[in-house]
Amino acid sequence: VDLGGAAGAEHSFEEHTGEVRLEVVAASCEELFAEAGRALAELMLGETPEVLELSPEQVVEVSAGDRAALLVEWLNELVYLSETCKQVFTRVRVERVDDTHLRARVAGVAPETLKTAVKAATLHRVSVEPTEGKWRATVVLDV
Amino acid sequence: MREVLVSATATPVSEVVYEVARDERTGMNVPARIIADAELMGQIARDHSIEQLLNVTTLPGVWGCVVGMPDMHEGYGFPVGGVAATVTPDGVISPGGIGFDINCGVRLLASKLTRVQVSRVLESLVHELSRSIPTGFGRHGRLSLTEEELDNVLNEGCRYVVGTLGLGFSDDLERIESGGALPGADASKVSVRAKQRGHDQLGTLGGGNHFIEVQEVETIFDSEAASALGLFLGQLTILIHTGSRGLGHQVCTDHVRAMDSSLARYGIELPDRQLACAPFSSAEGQEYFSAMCAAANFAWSNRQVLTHRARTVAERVLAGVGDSELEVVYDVAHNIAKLEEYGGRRLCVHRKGATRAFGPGSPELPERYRHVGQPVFIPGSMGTRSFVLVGAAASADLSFGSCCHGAGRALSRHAAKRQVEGHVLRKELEAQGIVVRCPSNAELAEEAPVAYKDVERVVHVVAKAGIARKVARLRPWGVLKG
Repeated sequence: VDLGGAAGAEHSFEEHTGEVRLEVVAASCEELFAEAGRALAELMLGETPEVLELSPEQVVEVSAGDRAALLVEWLNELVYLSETCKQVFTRVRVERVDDTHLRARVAGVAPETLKTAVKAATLHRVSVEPTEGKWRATVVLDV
Repeated sequence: MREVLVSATATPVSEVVYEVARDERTGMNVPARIIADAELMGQIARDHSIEQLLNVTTLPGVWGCVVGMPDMHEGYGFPVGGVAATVTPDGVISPGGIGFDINCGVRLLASKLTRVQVSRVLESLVHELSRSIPTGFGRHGRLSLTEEELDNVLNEGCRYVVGTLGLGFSDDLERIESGGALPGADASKVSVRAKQRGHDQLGTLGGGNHFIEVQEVETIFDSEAASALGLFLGQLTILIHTGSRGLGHQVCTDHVRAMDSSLARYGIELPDRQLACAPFSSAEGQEYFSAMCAAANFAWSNRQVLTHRARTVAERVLAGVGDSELEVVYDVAHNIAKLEEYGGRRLCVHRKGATRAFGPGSPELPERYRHVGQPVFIPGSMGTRSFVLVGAAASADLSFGSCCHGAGRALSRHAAKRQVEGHVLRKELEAQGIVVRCPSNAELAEEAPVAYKDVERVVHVVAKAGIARKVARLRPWGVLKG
């Protein structure tokens, strides 16, 4: 399973009573969105997933009215594709991202079970911002 | 964005009711009421629940007061354990006030047998339930519906599942809230994506805190009500907790997106984007309501198919013991919006992690339960007791006919895992004679009793407030976690 991210990109799952708050930091906006996608896969598979064969890559494109909504839209697209393709997308490459549009290539694995089933990403306190030379994002996932 | 920044002052108005006045913060349209005692208020105040409840008071058209239940905890947008009513036709409907798992709910099945009678085969019963109910991620063992069948499920709910698919008995229908079918449902308002997610999920449990529990009626508090519900001491029961699965999740996702985009058009400003909403009478409001009703029908149908699977297993495993019949006691929704009348107004009552709890006499209750009130089921955390209650008269005035829905989380999943080791918990549960079927120890730890509020206290508070009466306590003997 390829869960490796770009150098400098990091994510953490922060405290939230009922759900999961994901925080991501990366050097570029592209890497920020890619790392958020990889974090989603880690949440779904657990930290030590079994080794599985990767599916062929597929292109994903999403649009939204602003960059924060775009992050929610992107994660929700991955949730939708996961459930309908029965895959978890562990290899994520974001080719292009701006305020309202994202294009990425993803490949996934097909596990028998999920560690955590993710229902959706939410707009609750969502943010995507450049701060101190890095890109930072926060998003709450309903699990 | 209109921010709610100042921390709130909740004033006790009785031992179990607190209120936050409407002038506590700028932008509040109504006061907030929290049903809790001092201990539970202390737990509730530890996260962002009260702030989220006050955010809900800012919704356009919100009526009376918003209500927090004693099991309330932080959610996204609305708190979990929140009730808000808006005046139709022009007050708003908010998909976040129902949540992603539309009509997540609980159904109780009652056996004719006692737990003692089935003790020899109890482990087999739990094992066979786990084998027959798909909980995995793949396609194995799933009932796959054609497009037409899925549309029928969405439009007609349990009437179609029982009447046409033959998965259940006609008697089941009157023992399901709203007969298992909301009249406002319209399958054509459910997106292709939602249907793609749901087409093979009917009769599946799903992950998170969803479960099936095999239980015993351990205590009867109200023998008249217990008898009306067909419950007796020592009886074997099965509790099913699940919802509308990916179909419902996608319906919420679709309509939060649409309403987030239409806020400016309706001049709506919100303190939290996940409260995205639109006037009930607007095109966006009507489309969401029709889709939500369809997703609610899917959820009731899901619990109906699970009931059918449980009956099939019971017939096989319990046949050598005695009468293997399983009767539906009732089925309640705890994430839903419903049109209800209060004080001559037609309100859209949002219940997010709250159960309808109409008191005796309500024409919406089946005749067999009308004299005792609506059955309400309050699952405890894994390994702890669950409760059967009936709605009481005070619920209409205090909480728009609503009650709590569970124990309510007190700790995050991370915090629970720091305090509890899954393998230790598994051994503790097994030492109590509880058969556990859960994919991993880590998931077990996330749902550990320590992660939840004390369900006994939560139930005591709603009973003391007069919104529901205690009928019976159920002791778990087998847990199948999704």
